[in-house]
Amino acid sequence: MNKEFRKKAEQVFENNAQLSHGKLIEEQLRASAFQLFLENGFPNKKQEDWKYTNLNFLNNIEFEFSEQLNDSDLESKQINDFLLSKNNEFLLVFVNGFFSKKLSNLHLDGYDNIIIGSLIDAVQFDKNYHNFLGSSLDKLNDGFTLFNTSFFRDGAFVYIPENFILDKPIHVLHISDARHNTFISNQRNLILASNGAQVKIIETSYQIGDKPSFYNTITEIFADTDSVVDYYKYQNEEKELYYIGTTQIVQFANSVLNSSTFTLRPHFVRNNLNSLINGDYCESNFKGFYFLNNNEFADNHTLADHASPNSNSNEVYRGIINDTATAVFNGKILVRPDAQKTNAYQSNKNILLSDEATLNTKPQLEIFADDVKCSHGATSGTIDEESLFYLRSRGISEAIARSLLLSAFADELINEIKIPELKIKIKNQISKSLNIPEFIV
Amino acid sequence: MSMLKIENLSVNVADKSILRGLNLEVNAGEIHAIMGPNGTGKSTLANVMAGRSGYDILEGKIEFDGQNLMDMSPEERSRSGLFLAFQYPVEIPGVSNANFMKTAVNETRKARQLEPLDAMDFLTMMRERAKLVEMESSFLNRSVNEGFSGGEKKRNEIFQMAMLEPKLAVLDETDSGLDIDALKIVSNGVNILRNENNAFIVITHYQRLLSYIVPDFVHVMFDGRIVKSGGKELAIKLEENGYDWIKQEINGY
Ligand SMILES: Nc1ncnc2c1ncn2[C@@H]1O[C@H](COP(=O)(O)OP(=O)(O)OP(=O)(O)O)[C@@H](O)[C@H]1O
Ligand SMILES: [Mg+2]
Repeated sequence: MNKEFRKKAEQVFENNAQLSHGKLIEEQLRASAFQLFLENGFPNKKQEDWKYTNLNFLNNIEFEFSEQLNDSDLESKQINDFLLSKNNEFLLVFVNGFFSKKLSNLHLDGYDNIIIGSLIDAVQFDKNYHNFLGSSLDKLNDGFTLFNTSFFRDGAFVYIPENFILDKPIHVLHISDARHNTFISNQRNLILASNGAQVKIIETSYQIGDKPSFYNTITEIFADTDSVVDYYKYQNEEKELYYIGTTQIVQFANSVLNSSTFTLRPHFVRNNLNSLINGDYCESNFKGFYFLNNNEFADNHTLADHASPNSNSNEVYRGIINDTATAVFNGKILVRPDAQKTNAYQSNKNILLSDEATLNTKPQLEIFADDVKCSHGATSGTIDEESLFYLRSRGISEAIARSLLLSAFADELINEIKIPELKIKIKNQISKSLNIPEFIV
Repeated sequence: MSMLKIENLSVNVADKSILRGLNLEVNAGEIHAIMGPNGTGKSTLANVMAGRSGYDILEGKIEFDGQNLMDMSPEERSRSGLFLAFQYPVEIPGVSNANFMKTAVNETRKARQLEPLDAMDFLTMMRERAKLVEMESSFLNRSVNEGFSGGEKKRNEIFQMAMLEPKLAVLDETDSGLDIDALKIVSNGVNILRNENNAFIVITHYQRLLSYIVPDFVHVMFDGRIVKSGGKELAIKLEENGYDWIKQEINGY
């Protein structure tokens, strides 16, 4: 962190302290986070968790803080392409970290007891909600989390009451407006699924405009007893968007978390996905797929933190890496001493399409209980030559044969998507990226 | 003009000499059987014809329909009407049989400057051809050969052949692993598809198949060469007497 940036940060931090309505978290929490951030700065390659992540953009680009909502010159039609469906989703739009009521589409009539909206509105409605903020993050004190805690001003808030099954998915759309400024945006989302509730959340992130931008976002999810939370991330932004997103889930007994992360042709993406399994008989499913070309970068760090017995975690990530792109996968399974009878499974398979593509994949198992079943495997290879020849021997050109094999590799994850509009969007995007002719799909 | 003309073909695999000056000629309307002990190079011949990589062609040429096969990619060979039913078909998880065939048929049509088949026409064609080998339609939605039994894989090869309607089909031990009923079904498929414009090369170890698919010529392959050719009675003689007498004949001169 250079001197100028530090000065800017201190200034903005002071300004924010004056804002009464922006006080979403205890001032003490905010202040101590900022203090720690000033001492340690952003992470760097010397830290194990950031070893393979090139953070030079933080030094090379001069960012400014996004300090207020500015959606006056934005219209719905400019974000049309980012939607999954016109009427079949609850749409929450954020522009550089601020809630845009104008661009959101909530039509909540008939949904009486649920809350879907901005964090600020929610906390004003019931101050108790703010106790949740940051409570999932007490052990996460890396620079980006501290930075976020110090500077976020708003985010999505979702509350699903007991036993309520929400039919439509909630789409949290992060827009990085880089038309006029080079912004850093911080955003904090909070999702509360009560006992027995079921909800589907989709997070997407897009940039408009061509300047570089940096979006630092955190989502905290509390999945109470017997709840089912489907959590999707769809990332498909080729512009110069640097995206760092942390998702911290706390699971209580019998809850199910299904997380799916699709990262297609991003510029720079780092996802931290952590689930704290804090009750018996939970299920935690982490699925992910990344497809990288050119100089693109995607980094998935995941943690299945088994703190209670009798739970299952199941992780499958797959990736296709082309050209000079780089993928990082780090899957940590932590089984704490009390977490007996844990089943933890992890697999990461990769296809490298070029000699210059880079993959860093690492399982990280820390097991402190003895009655545990754990397995993991990571592979990287090229396209299977036997299969390629078989397809070609039936008249299929080499290029299409390759595409077919690659899309088959992705399909196993895509076919599990439970939101039809999202599935179609991802399928189309992959077909397009792989140049699959229309008559096949 | 003959449909297939192989002249003096010599091929090495991993510095080992496998085919040693092989000659073979096939005309439209004919069925040729190739028999011979394990490891004499029958599958090697089939694979070299289909264009599999990893073979050093030292000498000789293969002419198919007046074209030099060696200049063509595997897909071009297929599109020009050559088909190989593999001895060991591969499993391809995630690619459905239907999608596979749709792509293959339409890519072949494209190469012949034909419009792609629309979804309905394709479905009708696929159902009809699946029936030919008594393959249940559920197999069409499954991944290519994945979890198929040995016999089901072979049947799937003949189904693909029926879809692509080749001029020349090479069946590499399609009968191995088939029970009697399946053998009849597969042979029946071949017999329905055969006509005066196409030809078959049937590689087999058993005369049994040849009582269903009656060959015009039987060739014995030995040590990378065709050492004896005859009519269908040659297969019967081989079945009864094995290969020793042929070895003696060769060593005799
Ligand atoms: N990739 C390879 N590397 C080394 N040797 C090979 C390779 N492929 C084939 N061969 C050898 O070439 C010889 C001929 O093999 P081929 O499969 O053509 O025999 P075949 O006549 O089809 O036998 P079968 O009746 O058992 O199917 C065998 O000795 C085999 O081991
Ligand atoms: Mg063989």
